[in-house]
Amino acid sequence: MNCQETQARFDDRLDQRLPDAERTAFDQHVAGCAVCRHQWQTYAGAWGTVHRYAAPEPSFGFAARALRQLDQPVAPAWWPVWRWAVLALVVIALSAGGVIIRAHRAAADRVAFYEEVQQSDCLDDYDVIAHLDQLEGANHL
Amino acid sequence: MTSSDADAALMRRVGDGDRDAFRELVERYQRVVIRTIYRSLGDAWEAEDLAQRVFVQVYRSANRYRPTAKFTTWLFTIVHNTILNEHRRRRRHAAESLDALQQPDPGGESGGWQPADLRAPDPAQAAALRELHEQIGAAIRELPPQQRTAVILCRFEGQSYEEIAATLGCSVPAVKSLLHRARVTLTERLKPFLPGGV
Repeated sequence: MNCQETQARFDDRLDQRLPDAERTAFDQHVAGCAVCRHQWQTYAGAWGTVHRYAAPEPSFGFAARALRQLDQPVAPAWWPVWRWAVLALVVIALSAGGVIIRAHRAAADRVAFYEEVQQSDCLDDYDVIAHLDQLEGANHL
Repeated sequence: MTSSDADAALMRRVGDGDRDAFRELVERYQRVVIRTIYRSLGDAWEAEDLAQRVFVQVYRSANRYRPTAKFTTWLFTIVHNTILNEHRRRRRHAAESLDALQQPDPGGESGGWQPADLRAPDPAQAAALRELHEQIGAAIRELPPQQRTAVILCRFEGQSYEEIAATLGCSVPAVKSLLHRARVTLTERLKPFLPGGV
């Protein structure tokens, strides 16, 4: 086994996937080649060091908390991504609804006012009725 | 009964809404799920929170589980997807995270948790171990998600290439390639911390 073949087998050697004959050839080459030995020791050493990365144990009551989670209401899977879009649509819809209702009410009030004025006995002057819009505008001012 | 058969039997009961079976399943796999998430994200509190979500997902998807697949493969697929979702969420809130990084972190980088051997009586030794622990964690977290999960499943959970391939939904040669690229990166990153390293 030459250097290139040896280095191409570093992963298989680490994961113990080399057949016996190849493993023996690999080990013999590494024992006799300073360059491959250094590279192998670094490669295997780093992989060995990774194993020292410890992780925590579950905290007390983890399983009980997981059980309690089952009773929590579930948000639909799309909710985290689309929630802002949904909220924006709701706000726009409510605002548009508010504007439409207000305009509709104003129009209804105006019709009722005209009807009331037309039926009134004390306002016979047709000019006054015809220019109610202007009078109304002046009152608002 | 093999462990795989026992898992399948438990999952059948979980699928029927049996909460005792669910608790047994959680107690059996809580360590491995929390460890895997912690090693991928580096935050102990978040690892527990996401592990809870993984188990809730297991419960809610239990009816869809078919014993043709090994339970651990199915479980690790959920864990991997949960981690990927968390990465996506973090990317979306990248600006907020950058702000958070500038604030002092009361829990430390491990989410308030340190391995027991980092509390060594010799302060110099403890500091060196803490530095090594943080460097390994950072090196793992800097790997792309697929490489990271492959490393965690291979190095810490002792899974075969075939099991990792099933979890990641890729081929065995792809797993070999993922592991090789990850090892090259980790070697470069951790070289200074090896005995006689430069």
